[in-house]
Parts: sequence; C-alpha cells; structure tokens
Amino acid sequence: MPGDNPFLDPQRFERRIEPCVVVIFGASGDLAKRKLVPALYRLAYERRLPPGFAILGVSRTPLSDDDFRAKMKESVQKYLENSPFDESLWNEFARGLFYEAGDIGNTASFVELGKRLDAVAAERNTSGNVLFYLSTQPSQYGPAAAGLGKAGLAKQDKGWRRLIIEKPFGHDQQSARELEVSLHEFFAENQLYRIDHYLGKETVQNILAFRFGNPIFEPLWNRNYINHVQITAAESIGVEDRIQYYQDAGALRDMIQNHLLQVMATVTMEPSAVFEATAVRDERAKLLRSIRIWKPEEVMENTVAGQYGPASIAGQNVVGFRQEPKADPKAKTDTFAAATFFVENWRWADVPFYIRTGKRMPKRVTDIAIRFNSVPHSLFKTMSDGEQIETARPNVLVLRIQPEEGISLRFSSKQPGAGMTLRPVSMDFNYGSSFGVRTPAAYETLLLDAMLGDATLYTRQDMVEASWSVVQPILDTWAARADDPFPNYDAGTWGPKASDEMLARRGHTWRVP
Amino acid sequence: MATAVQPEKILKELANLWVDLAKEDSAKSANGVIRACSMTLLIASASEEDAESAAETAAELLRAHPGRAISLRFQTSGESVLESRVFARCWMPYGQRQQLCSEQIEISASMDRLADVYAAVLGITVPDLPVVLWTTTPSLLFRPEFAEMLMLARTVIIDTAKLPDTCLALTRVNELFQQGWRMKDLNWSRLTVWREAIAHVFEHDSWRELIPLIDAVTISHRGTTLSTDVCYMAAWLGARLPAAKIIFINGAENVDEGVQSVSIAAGVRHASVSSSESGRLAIDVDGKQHQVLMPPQTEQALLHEELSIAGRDPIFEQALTGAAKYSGAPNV
Repeated sequence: MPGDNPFLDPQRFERRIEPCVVVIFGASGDLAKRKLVPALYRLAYERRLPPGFAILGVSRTPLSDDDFRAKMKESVQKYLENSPFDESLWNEFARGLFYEAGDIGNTASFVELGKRLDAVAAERNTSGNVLFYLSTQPSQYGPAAAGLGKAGLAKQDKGWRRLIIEKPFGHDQQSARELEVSLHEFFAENQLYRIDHYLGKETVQNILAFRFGNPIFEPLWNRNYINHVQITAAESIGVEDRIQYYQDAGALRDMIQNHLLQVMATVTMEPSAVFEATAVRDERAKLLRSIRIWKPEEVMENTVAGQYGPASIAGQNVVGFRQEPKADPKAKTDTFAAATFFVENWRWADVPFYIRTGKRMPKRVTDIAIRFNSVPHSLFKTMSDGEQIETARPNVLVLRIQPEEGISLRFSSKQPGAGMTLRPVSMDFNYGSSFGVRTPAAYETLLLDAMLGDATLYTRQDMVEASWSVVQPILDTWAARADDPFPNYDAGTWGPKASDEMLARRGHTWRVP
Repeated sequence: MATAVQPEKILKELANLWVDLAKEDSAKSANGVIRACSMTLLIASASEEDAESAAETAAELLRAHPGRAISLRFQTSGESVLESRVFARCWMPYGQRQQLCSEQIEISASMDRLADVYAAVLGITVPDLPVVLWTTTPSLLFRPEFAEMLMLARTVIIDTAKLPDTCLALTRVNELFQQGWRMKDLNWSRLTVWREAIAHVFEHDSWRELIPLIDAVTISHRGTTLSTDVCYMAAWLGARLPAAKIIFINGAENVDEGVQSVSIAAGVRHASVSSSESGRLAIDVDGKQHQVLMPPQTEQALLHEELSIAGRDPIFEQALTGAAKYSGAPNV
C-alpha cells in the first residue's frame, strides 16, 4: 500500500475527499432539493470535491439524467445560500449527476442500482466508494438497508460504503433498537452516519473550541462555580407543513431526544484525549449515560408538556395547534417541552440543567445560558424603601447558537457616578460579524465529513439509546395521563406557567433570551 | 506641519473614536458597535498610490481578521514629515444588526523620521496580540535604516512578484527567515490552487505508488526568466519527487510571469495541471480531464490566506530554502 500523500498541505488545503459517488434515495424530495444538492454544489464551488465524483439520484419518479440535471439546477439556483451561481461550474458539476428510477420496496431496483453504480464508477472514475443518503421516510430506513445489503452494495470489497440516515432514529426506545437491528444486519456501525444537523452547526462546534481551547474556563466548569444551566431552542413559527410528522412526534421527540441532549452533552462532556471521532463520541456517550433517568412519579415535577392555543400576535390572529390545517382537533401533541435534568458525575452533581423547546414562541432563538454562583458575600448593597437590595448580579455566560451566533458574558460594573451601585453589562462576541466570512451550512460540513469518513459530528447508536433512555419514561408518563391540559399556553408566549413553576421549585427563573 | 506623533495622543484619539461611534450608533439603533481585535497589522508603503490601495485592501481584510491596522506611509523624498491620524472603518455585516468596526491609524513620515515612527508604533501596537508587517514596497526590507522597523513584527508578509531580481529576492527573504522572522510571500500563496490540484492527482493510490518512478517534471511559465513562484513550485515538487528531473519551459513574452502548466510523467503515465482561459485550472490525469475554478487571486485573498495561518508554515519554509538553487536554472 502506498503511504500518505506527501503533497498535502493541511494548513492551506482543505481535507481531501476520495473519489466517490453519493447516492441520494428520495432524490426528488424536499431535502435533496433544498439542502443536499445545493450543499454538494457549494462544495464543488469551494473546490472541495474530487475530480472523480458523481451524484446518483434515486426515486420512484421516472426521470432521465438530463431531466434530473435540469431539476437540480433549478433547485440549486433557488436554494443556494450566500453564494453565486456559476453557470460553467454548474455544467461541469452536472456532468456528474445521474438518475435511476427505483423503488425501495422492490429487490430488483437494487440489482439495477448496482449495475448503474458500476457504470457511473467507470465513467467518473470514482474508485468504488459510495455514500448512500437515505433522504426518505424513516420507515424506509430498514427496507433500504436490507435492499442494499442483499444486493451486495454494502460490501466494502471494491471501496468504502457508508450510509447516512436522518433523525428520527426510532419513535421510541423499542423502535430505535429495532432500527438498529435492521441497519446492523448489513452495515457495520462504522459504516453508519446518523445525522444530527445541530452538531454540524459551526457554533455548536465552537463550543468545543471555547471549552477546550481556553484553559481559563476549565476550573470554573463544574458544580463548584456553576449554579445551573438553561438551554432554550425556541421557534416563532408553528408546525407549518410538518403537521403529519410533528403531530405524532411532538417537541420532546423532535428536539430534546436528539438535538438538545447532544448540545447538553457537548457543553458538559469531559475533554477527550484527542479530537478524533471515537474519542469525542465516547465522551459524549458517557455523558448521555450519566443523565439521571426520572422515575415515573418524578416525571411530572421535572418536566412540562405544553401545546399552544390561539392568540393574537402583534395584531395578527394565530390559530392554536389543534386548529392548524390537517391537525387532529383533539391532538395531545406537545408543541412545547421543558425538562430538568441532572448529570450524575463528580463534575455536575446537583447542578440542574433546564431544557425547553417550543413552537410559536416569541422569537426564534437557540442558546445555552450558564449561570454562575452569586458572590459568597456581597459588598454592594443599596437601600430601597428601607430594604437592602443586592446590586451584584451573578455572571451569566451565554453561548448563542442561532440566530446571531456568538458568546456573551454578563458581569457587574460600577454605575457611573457617586456611590457604589453595580449594574450588569454584557461583553459580547459575535461569531458571524467578528469573522466577516461565510460559514459553511451544516449540511456542507456533515456531507463533507461523511465523505471523509469523519464521524465526529455524527450520532452513534449507543448515544441514540442513551438519549432514548432519558426521554422514554417522560413520554410514557405523559402518554398515560388521563386529563387533557391542552392548550396550556398562548401562541407568542414563552410556554405554560408550569414551566416557570418547575424552575421556581429550585429557586430559579427562566431568563428571557 | 506636525512633526511629532505621540502614542498616548493616538490612543486617546482612538478611545474617543470608539465613544463617538457608540454614541452615533446608539442614536440609530440600540445594538451598538462591536470592537474586535486579533492582531496589529502594520502596512508599510513607500508610495502614495501603494498606500491608498493597501488601505483599501486592509479595510476589506479586517472583516475576516479584525484588528488594528497601522498604515505607515513613507515618503522617500521631500521635506521632513511626521504626522498621524486615526479613523475607524465600519460596516454592517449582511443580515446583522450590529456594526463591526476596526480601527486604523495612519502615520505619514519621511525616511529621516524612521526612528520616530518606530518609537510611536512601539507604543500603539495592541498588547498581547501578534504584530504582522505587510509591506507593499518589498524593497523597503532591503534598506538598512528599515531594520529597526522590522523588529516590531514577528511575521513579515511580502510579495516577491514585485521584485525584479528573483535571485536577490529569494536570498533576502531567506536571510530574514534564517534570522528568525516568520516570512510569508504572496507569490507562494498564488501557488496554492496549483499545489492543491497536484495533490489531488496523488490522492489516487496508483499515483502515490509511482512517486519513486516519476522521472520528469516540466514547469512551463510565462516569463522569459524564472520568477519566485516558479522556483517555489520547483522546490516543492523536487522535495517530493526525488527521482524527477525538473525542466523549465519559458514563455514567449516577458509579460504575466508565473506558472502556466506543470506536467508530471512516469513512463506511460502522465498528469498535468494547466491554466486555461476563463480563470480555470485544467487537470488531466491519464487522459481523464477535469476543471476547477481558480479562486480570486487578489492581494486581499492572498493576504487572507496567509493571515489564516497563525503559526509556522513548515511547507513554505522548506520551499523557500530550496527555491534559491533554481533561481538561476536554465530555461528550455
């Protein structure tokens, strides 16, 4: 075997991708059109793709290669973000676009797919490496993996074979395990790439840089200095066209079971010895396994389910969830979920982690607020109405994920003028504007990583199972309640009162992001 | 005409500038301005035209590399001058609500006031952050009286394409490197897209297996003499292809110096990378052709690349030390 490539210059060249074909199942679907193909085109624009590269779209709709190219061109022009469309580059890129009509439920389709892959590999010199992307209904994951496996397309004798799947990874703990069994029948764990696009966000990755590249924070990053942590992922919009999926899934499954527990793990994990996929994922998995699992009788005190009702927002009437088009008028869907978690290890014992997520909240924001302890003895008090008021406020470090990615630190400063009154001020680092350069979209990062065989930002089966272990008792308890508390918050608010009460029980309040 | 530049006065003016900016901005919105700083960028120019263009480039550059830019405008003739002014360049990043501002200080001086400039700059570099010197007039580095100014920076960026004598340029840059400066040359950055394309060829196992057998590399260039980028390319390839003879083919005219194509041969196997019209690189590997878009090679883009490398650059250092032996090589 030849050694490493001596011509590489890692400080200047981006990581190189081996020649490969990306096979997209569900190629005529929304994800392929809006995200996947624009992200791959953008990678071509950045000169990140190898000369031996092709995309093979697979879907039921009969299309010629040229039809597929025309459709994808339209999509790229429409959905390409922060980038110009270059006609001649597109022509070059489009030469590597192919289409094969096929049905996941039909074994013969996979045999045909195998033949087409051989032809594309010969034409484009892709060395037998294939990345399969299942941009399909989750119910198709098992049959697709089986189809690929039975047709011999999962075997790595001619080159690497990798399979990407999108969340949800199961509907509950049981179905997650069933999915695992069906995927593992033909694919080894190191061939599987479970996308959690939150982990592909530049600012989520920046949490690792912030924590492990700046030693001044490490001594403070524990129960001795941190009072509690609040993670908020709020959407101002409703369910829009995701009603069918969302009505069954709800906020806890849709956001907390995957994205937000992963974010929490990123904030709280121990540093890994090296920045490599296995090491980083081991630490994340270890943290997820350390989250206290609520007993059924503890669930209602430590979690809150909510559903938005109709309201008027800025003079505009907004319907409640049950009045949304195609929604079940008696749906028990949680459009808001909040939970208190504890991490049972030495670093985090007794530190509450409050997580909340919801639809139709006052604004779209995702952030992590780390509230430090108050000063042990205050010097700075002021008299008001015969009462001594503490003017020093606890420090809060906020890691903002969206929309304005950055980091801010609240600290106390003397109010200018006579006397010694303190007021909080914020020191702000804005990631996007401090480095006025384009940051790659999450799908660009994640597709690139999968083609490179770097699974650092992908979820692993043990992490999926650990997350379900945390969430399943909550889902079961919520499902078993006899009453119907919904709707219990008005659209355009920060959620039900019970959510505030959950924090109040530990003497805390939600901050307003 | 002012004849003194006081660091304290400049720093006070800067502080006032930020207060004014914040007031102005808060009158318009409640979001304020962001002050970001990652380095001091010293820009030394010996012509007014260069200085103007460098200031524009720096303003763009500071978006990705926020910092304090100190523009040093040296006047090589005329009366004794030393004066300064401070200003900020602000912009509203796309889709953001906060202005991002970077501060710039401009010092104009005649060459006889170099010692005063050095003293002033010493007092106004940003503490605890790297100081980078970029000279748009590379010949300044060769002047003995400029030696003290060099002491201000650890990293020096030049563009040897602006120097007429390749041999002298490589010798001088090598000397500074040997003396401990972290040298960066924009004429090396121009090769990145070429080197990346060549590296791509060797991503194939079959081409990596060929490395000991590659016996000929031909570099075609536009100029009638070898420019520094051609020498760098030869040194870089030579260090990786031990059995290869490097042949240079010169262009017909002495215009647009630089690499035009690189061909690598091992028996019947052949790969080439060549610049084509419409700003692309054409890559041919064993008869299979492919094109990539050439990124913009503006001064700003090249500087951005160099500033993105915070530490040492051993690959450039190796090419730099190896390039000198090619500077007098014959053309075919």
